[in-house]
Amino acid sequence: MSVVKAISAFAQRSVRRRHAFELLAYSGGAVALLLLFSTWIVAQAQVAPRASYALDGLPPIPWSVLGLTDLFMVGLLAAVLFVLVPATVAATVAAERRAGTLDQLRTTPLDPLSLLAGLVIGAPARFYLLCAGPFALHVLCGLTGVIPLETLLTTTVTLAIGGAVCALLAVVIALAPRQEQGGAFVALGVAAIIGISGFIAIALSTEHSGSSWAFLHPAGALNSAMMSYDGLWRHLCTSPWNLDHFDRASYIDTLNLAPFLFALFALATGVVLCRAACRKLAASHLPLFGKLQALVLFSLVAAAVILPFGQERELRSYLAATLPLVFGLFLLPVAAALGLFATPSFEAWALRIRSGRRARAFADDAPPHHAVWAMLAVFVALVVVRVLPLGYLEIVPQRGLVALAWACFTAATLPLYMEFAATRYATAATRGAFGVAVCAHLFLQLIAIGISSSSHSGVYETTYIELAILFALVVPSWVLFRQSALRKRTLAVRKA
Amino acid sequence: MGPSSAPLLSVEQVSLSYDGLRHAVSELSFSVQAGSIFALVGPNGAGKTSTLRMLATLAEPTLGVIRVDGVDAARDREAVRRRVGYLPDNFALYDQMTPVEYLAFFARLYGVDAKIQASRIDGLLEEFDLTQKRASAIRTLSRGMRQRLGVAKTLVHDPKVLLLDEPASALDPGARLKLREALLRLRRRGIAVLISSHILPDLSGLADAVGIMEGGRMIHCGAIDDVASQARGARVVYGIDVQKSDPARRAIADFGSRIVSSEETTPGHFEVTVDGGPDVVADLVDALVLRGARVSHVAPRESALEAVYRASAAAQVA
Repeated sequence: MSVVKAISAFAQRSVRRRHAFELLAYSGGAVALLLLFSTWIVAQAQVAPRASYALDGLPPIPWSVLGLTDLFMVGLLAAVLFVLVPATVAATVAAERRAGTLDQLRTTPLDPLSLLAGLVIGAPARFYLLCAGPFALHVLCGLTGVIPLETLLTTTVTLAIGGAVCALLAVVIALAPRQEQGGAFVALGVAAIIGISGFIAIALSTEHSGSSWAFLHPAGALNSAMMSYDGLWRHLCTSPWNLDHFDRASYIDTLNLAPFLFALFALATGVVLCRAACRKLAASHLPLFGKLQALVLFSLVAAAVILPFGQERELRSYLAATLPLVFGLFLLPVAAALGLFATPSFEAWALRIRSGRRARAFADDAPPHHAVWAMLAVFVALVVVRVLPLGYLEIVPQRGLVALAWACFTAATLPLYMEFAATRYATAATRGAFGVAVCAHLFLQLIAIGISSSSHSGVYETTYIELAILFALVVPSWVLFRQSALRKRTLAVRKA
Repeated sequence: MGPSSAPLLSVEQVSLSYDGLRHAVSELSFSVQAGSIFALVGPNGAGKTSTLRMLATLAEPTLGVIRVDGVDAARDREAVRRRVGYLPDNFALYDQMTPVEYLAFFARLYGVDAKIQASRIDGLLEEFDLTQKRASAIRTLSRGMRQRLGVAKTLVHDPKVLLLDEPASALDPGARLKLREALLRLRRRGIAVLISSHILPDLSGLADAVGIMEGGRMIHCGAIDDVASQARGARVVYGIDVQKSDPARRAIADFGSRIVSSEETTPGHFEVTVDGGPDVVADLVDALVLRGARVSHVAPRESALEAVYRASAAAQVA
């Protein structure tokens, strides 16, 4: 019940009752304008000749006013729910943190879940009201047969779950920094991350080879759902020379499956994100993620990235050698971000070592080593499960295995840097500078790993690899030494 | 309603440490009765805000127990939050809202019955002299009005305990006076008020009990009269105005060792530090009158609370 109360309170804070009708009127007006615009476009399209390159053997475009308006509406809904609402939510949370009003909200009897629901669902109420008109038209299209009813259902579910998970992700990103430092930048960052990844997912969904990964983003799942039936969306959003992809049953099956896979993936990740956000709202001094939450989240993302790799595809030796590295390259930033946000602050770390308590591997005040190494183990296990049955070991050259082992070793040193950055440096600027230095080191390692996995190696390449090996050993050792010195210094202060 | 025996707020041996080395709060114990005002005073960094944050359930004590109306804060935060109203230091308001909307928002979050919500908000606006600004955007309110609105917000759910962190900072004298009147009204209503401040004159005549904090520790705590009587032996500075300076100078010089120091800051005005409190001053006034100095005004330069605080601080340094 308190969830409903919180949503209602935040919604009424966002929109005054008298303004709600204005927003609904704007929403209706926008739909009417786009209907007129679509009517004009359809009239023009039906009299205009098609481009000459597209004349041969292409089916005619099934123009309809409602269909075209629906295309605009679904795009509008996706832009609002997947980008605008999360950006607004992130800005709201960041502003509340900066002003200290979040603490005032935390002193009310609301439980963290209710507060989260208020921020995710109630606070952007004005945007939901603006979505009312476009959504009503989308429903009308489903009921009048412009789009199939099952497409209406899947798109509605995708819009709802996608919007909620994107807003949840926005809250988590806004809560992640120890001190809030820039509401507008957080909002822009969230919009950029979700927007750019959405475009990538849409692009993946239009290609037969990439459509298996479209479900990773709501925009990809939405595009898949809208393309799965032979309508205006498919003809306008797919390039004419890709239309023959739709003749393959496997592609259509993948498109049909994408919204369901997305719903499953989003619900699973949403539960973890929700628990992380609630934890942070309840106790602001804790790291954003618990170690187990970070591990589960990484496992979900890693499984979503690695498992869709099709078994039917034949591995060529080059692909076989690089595939685990490519997966690793994509997942490395995910592991780094999750590990970093599961690392304790200096205060929590110092409190533990000064109290003489032994760190439990997955406790909040423990360093992130075990969690990150467990992530690495999950990654290797998924690669083994997915790639070995394809005959990886028979095809891959020895240097490919060496490169993979080197990459895993480099990834295993990440928690050393995370712990050092969180405990040694007090300000965001110094942590950032250290982060840049670590990134430069990792970049050097990645180049060396790339060179070592290729068959071309001259004198210069060999020298570079030798230097990189030296750095791979010296840099983490130096950080380990400094961390040990910091530990001794911290304990010495207590004894003094 | 007068103070009752059962404390509404009790703090028992509470400590708070962030890094295991420095204690923001160390072994703090005190209680606040219903219908009384407890002043928590101390210099910046003494641990006042950390204490209030623990009482408001925003921070968890490393050790010790906090009870509000008999409810253990560590066991049932929600129940404690229903009983507590908290105004943080340098608090922010939602500038785009009106006072009515702001109070209604928090009333909903606290689950105030919709039937009594409007009347309670009207009552609070009336009580804090904000009725005329009820429909104005909060960004247009003066600092004093914002402060009063902040206090009104803490009362919207009818709490039993009120925690105010530096509520009078940056307020003009008129606004401070209104805030003081409001706090006295709350005391009469039986609310236990814990007020943190380093502006001692504001607390004089307002607080029933005082706790003096220094370096995270409570160095002095008790009913204000008890604490003041303990400090009666301390040195107190009095300002004495006379119409004839020469006999006054002679009287002060001959008064003896009970006068620690004296200074004629302006012609006819003496700042005299006495060791012994009001009895000594009475003797000094007699001596001045006998010498024909014609005393026109005698007043302690600082309140009892200030004297207690100064004495405690001096003891800490020693």
